[in-house]
Amino acid sequence: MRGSHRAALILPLILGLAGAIHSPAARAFETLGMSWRTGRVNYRINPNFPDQDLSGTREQQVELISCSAESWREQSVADLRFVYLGTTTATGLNDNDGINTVSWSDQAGGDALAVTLISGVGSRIEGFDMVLFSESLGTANEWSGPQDPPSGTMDIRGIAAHEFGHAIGLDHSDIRTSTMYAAALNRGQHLRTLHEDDLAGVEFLYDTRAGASPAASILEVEPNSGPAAGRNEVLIRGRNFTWDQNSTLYAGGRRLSSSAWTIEDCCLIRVHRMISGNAGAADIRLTSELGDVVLEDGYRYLSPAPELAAISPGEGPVTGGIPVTVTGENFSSAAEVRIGGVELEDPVWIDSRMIRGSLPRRRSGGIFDVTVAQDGTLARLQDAFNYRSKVLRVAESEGPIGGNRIPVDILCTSDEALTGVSFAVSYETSELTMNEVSTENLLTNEASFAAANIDNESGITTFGIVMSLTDTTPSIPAAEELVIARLLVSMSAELSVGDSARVELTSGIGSPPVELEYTTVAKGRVVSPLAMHGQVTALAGATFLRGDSDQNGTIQLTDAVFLLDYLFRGGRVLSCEDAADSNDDGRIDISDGILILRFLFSGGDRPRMPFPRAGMDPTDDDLGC
Amino acid sequence: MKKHRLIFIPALCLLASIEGRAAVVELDLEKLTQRSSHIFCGEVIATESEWGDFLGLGRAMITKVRIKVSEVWKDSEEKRPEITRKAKSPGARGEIAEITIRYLGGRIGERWQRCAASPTFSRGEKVLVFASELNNSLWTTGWFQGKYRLERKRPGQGLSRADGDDKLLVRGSQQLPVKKHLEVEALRLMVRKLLLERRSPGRGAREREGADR
Repeated sequence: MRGSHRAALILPLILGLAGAIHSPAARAFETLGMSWRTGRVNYRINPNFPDQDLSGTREQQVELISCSAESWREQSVADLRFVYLGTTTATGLNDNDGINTVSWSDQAGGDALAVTLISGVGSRIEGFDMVLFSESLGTANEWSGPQDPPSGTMDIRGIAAHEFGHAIGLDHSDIRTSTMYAAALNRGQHLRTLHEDDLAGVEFLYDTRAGASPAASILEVEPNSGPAAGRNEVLIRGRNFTWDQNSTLYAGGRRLSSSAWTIEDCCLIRVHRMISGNAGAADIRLTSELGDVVLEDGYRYLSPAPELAAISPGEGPVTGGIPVTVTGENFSSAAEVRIGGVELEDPVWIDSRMIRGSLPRRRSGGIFDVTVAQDGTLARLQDAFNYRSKVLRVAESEGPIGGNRIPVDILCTSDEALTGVSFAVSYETSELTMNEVSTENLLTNEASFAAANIDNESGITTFGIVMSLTDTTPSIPAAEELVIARLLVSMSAELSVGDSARVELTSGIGSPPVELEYTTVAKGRVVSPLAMHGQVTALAGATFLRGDSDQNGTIQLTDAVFLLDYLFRGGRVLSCEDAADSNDDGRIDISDGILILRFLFSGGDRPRMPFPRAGMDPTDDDLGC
Repeated sequence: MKKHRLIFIPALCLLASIEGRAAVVELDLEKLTQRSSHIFCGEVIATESEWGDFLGLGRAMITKVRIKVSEVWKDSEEKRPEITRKAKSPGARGEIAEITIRYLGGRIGERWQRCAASPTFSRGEKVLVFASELNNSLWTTGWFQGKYRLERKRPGQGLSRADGDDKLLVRGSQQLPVKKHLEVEALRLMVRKLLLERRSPGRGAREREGADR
């Protein structure tokens, strides 16, 4: 007797192994998220299948159904027991009768062959009822019993095994050859042998087996973004969520309180009140007895809508490049600032109230809106920034402490041709002394009238230039940052390295007072350009312009003549040897003069650095300046 | 007696081939479409579980799902209390505004009931539903086979776009008549074609023919 029993067990085992060999390795089982607390499942059978020729006698029906229940224990190592308590006359789905029943029903189940309704509280299954229907899809179901089921009949054993899987807490599996696959198939004897995936499922629920964890996962979060302040409702969808008392949910690394969320079923977590977080992407993480499940960047905290207060300065040149600061509220690091529709360059998020950056350039001037966009919201400051197309700027310069004739360029930007420009600059007399305002080698050298009024006692120099007193030509053309004058200043020996001496363009100063004005060629309009101040920074060493032998601030024929006179006639004194060393070879010789002449007249190499602006000597040599 | 059963149970386990063992009859899209009296897209606006009778089988939790309908693919002339239509001129049938469908299972207080063959719905979920009559009311056709989630997704991207300019997809599955994710518009055209073909003679003689069972 014992031997035959063993043999009877071996064959299903072989079938099981065969099934395992052919089955895919991936685990697809899913749980309903609950299980029987003790692993003991009592049940009764109502052997009421009416066609006993096909379904078997009442005793055979009991044995078939018991067999399908036992398969979950016999074929697995799960700590699970189905305990058959005998027959019953109860039928249907009665949650409150205290009996877990398996019965046949003379009802049509729609498109279902059978249903199992489990019930319980929290993660605990407390009861189940299973019904096998007499009719499905408008056709009678012929329930087949102990005999080899004829084609087209329903196998009691197979269907019941599937339904018992639900009774113990398993959901449908994606593996078509598994017992827990949802839909009907013609798969012969595979049906009575649990698939590896089914075994992994039951053993996970009732006796955790290494590596048997279901593929718990978070698939998506809906909506996938919400306010940084939280408190909104969020749905988290996934697989195999369990009502594990130790389950914890995190958003962006912050733990949600247990009262803020509920696992509604195996595949849905409802977060009633989302936790607050910092603006930006946040991982959603669920820890449970299945381990950690993470959906990286699964949720995005949105900043509150930004509010724009101001932009400073409120005007700037079309050439851009000046620092601007935008202030307001609720700025996120992802905020995008635009001025007149053009994105702020090199933006730096200081805090939620301030963003700094560099003014982008524009092709034309005008008054424009400033906007801050973030997370789908937009704040707008209307007519907040004035792009000026007419600008007069003092260029940033540097020079040696105590140095003389340090060039400081005056740059003119205009979108139309000009016939005249006037300006006044002020400076601290303890820092700077104005030597000269020069137009030498500049386009404005052709001007009919150019005059400077230098008052180094009050620190004010005024300058006026009229390109033509009688006609519209010559003129200062429409251009960006055209050098129209060059201030040559001396820097006080009292300054320290790194000090800056400010040079400010100021309207209405001087004696007589001079306005900051452009006179246009067209109609002779007088326009006040945007004034941009500059400064001269004190350097440790001397600065010079390479090739500028005569130290007049420009490269011209006179530099070559000056050098040749020095070398061969002995008639000159070099005030800056480095400047005369045009090729920077550490020697002053005829080759320096040839370089200047070739550069000026035959397209030869340009002088070495510093050129074309004055600066410090980049090479170490014996020459001085 | 106990000994006898120990022998008999394994013996029964060895009996030869068994056809089918699953809970539902597998439907394809054609059967799903033809069997459904109503096919529609919408958003779940409320769910409520209550005790009720299911097919005369006893007292069970049944959940009512109210769906605000945005698009109707199939409708019927039949007046049903669970369908609310938009007002129209007297005698004319208005468009469907809202449909209530039901499924077996739910939650009342701490207690829950769950049937794996039932679909589940959650508030705010956007769905495509194939519905037909069961238990004197509208249920999803083929149980879980008649319910599909709708999602806005860009190909290959997880996050929805803020401007809403994404493709609306029907989430398919190997266990469902719609096996793969499909654009709603593509599925709508397939369903429409099936509905038109249905009108031609010689089709749908026996719906169950070709089913696995």
